[in-house]
Amino acid sequence: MSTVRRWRATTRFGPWLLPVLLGLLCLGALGVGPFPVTPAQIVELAAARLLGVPAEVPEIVETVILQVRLPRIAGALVVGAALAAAGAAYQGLFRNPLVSPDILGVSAGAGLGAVLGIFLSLPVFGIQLLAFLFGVVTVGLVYLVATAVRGREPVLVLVLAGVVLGALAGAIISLLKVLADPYDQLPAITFWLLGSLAVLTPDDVLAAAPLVLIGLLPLHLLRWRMNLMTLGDEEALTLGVDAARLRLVFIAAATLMTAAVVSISGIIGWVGLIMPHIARMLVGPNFERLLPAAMTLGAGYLLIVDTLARTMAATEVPLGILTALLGAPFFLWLLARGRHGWQ
Amino acid sequence: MTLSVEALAFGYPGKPVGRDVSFELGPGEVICLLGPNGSGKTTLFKTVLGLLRPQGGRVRLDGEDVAQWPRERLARHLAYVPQAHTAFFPFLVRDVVLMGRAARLGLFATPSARDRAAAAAALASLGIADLADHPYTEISGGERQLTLIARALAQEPRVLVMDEPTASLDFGNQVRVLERITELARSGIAVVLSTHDPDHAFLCADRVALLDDGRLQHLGRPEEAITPEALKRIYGVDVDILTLPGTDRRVCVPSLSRPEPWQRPSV
Repeated sequence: MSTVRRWRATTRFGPWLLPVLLGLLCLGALGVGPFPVTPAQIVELAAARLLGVPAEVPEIVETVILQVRLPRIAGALVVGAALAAAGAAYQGLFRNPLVSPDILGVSAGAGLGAVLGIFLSLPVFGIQLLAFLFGVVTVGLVYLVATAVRGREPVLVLVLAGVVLGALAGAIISLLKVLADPYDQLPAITFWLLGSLAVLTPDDVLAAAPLVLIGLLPLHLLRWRMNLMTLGDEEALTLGVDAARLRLVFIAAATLMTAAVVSISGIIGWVGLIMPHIARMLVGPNFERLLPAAMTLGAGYLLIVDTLARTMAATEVPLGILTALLGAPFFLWLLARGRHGWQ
Repeated sequence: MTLSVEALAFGYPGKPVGRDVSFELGPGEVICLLGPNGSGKTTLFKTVLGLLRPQGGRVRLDGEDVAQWPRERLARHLAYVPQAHTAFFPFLVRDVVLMGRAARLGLFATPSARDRAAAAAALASLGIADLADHPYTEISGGERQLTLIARALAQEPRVLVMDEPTASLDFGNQVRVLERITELARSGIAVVLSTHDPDHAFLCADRVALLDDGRLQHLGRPEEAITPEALKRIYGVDVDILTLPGTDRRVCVPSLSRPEPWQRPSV
């Protein structure tokens, strides 16, 4: 019963506690960095903006807050929340808590698109567009392959097709790395594949956010039905749910969200795997509560990691490295404590 | 509501399992399906539930062919109780039972107070209301089976299909599940269940269907259907059927054939 009591407590306090913590994290993240900004200046600037009066802070402080840190923080929140939401959806769909948003090859496909864009020396927007399109197309191919193979457990075929096409994309990425210019393109490729928010612009965030919202809409509307998908197709069907069609909607939504954020941030692992997991331990597996909890935690986690990435060393540390370095031991610690949130 | 199975041929694409199965199941009636492993019980159930397309014949509810019914409509009349299984995620028992309301909810809706009341009533009718706040993964096998029955009841069905509801349960839970099944039938629900234990058929069935090699070998009252000859034919073992003194209750007693000493494997 202790598990259930914990879920109850977090369900009661979570809806305001987690967002408040997230807000405080944002304020903290605005304040830290190589250029010193005081909390008073942040409040002053925010108040001035809200009231539409000129702020009484140095212009450089205004630039640092509004042009440098705010877009990056917004980006971290959007990317983290989207990855965690997609992860929560995929874990339910595939009835497996060890599934990440990459399961159907969206990251591998997006990686291939981006690497190809870098290889062809496309401008940044071209690289992002290729990453997005390749991510979506890869999952589309996986889904087509899986529906062409009939008479088998559909979920298993999907996962296998995802692994195969992901490996194929990985092979082509490796080939392009070998062919790429080792002084100019190869570092860019490596950095992209490790994920970073360092060069994020406000336009990037504004381009990705609507796509994330479009993907989030079906997840939110169908949040209760998601629970039935964890029963497997046959039981869902006998309960009156068109499992195959619903799965297509969830896969499309989660893929759209993941592809949209991966195309602006590069590949960031672990967030979509671990955050839904922690959320499930906090609020239980019911997707109605799991989805907002996972998104809040994902946003907060990526904000913390990105703030570390830009402050802990003189140069930027790639996000993918940090999420794994922090995430993996934490995950092991959770496993060792025996609080699984799954069977 | 009457479930009619008419000359049903069933199986997987390219792999027929059985054919010519016909029976009618009326309100409040319990039909018990007996048959050895591999005789096609589960495949027959999957076809009746519309999970597999019939390879011939049809399934009707009150005379209407259900082949073209949308899943939601079917689920409001016909409910399925799978064998107690382990879940992947620790949903609360009340949430598991609530899932039975899916066919009665709009696509984007979440359960209302009425749905919660229906789920609570289903739990209470099976005597497991106190399990509502336990995770499904932390209750016993018997409690899980009752939870799945409650989920089916939350669908408010007229016909209940149960796949070996007593399998893998301990003795007490088997009896409890059988008691609930007879109670459900008394409330007017039609029940078709499969079992491996002929005694269970004696305990709860109005009629018994013997399935062997995908064909219906016999359909009739338990004492007519379950005879030593019939059991010998479909299971290949010798069984005595005794009537308990002073009652009309019957029990099956397998007569174990003990190997003679010279037939025992040498150690």
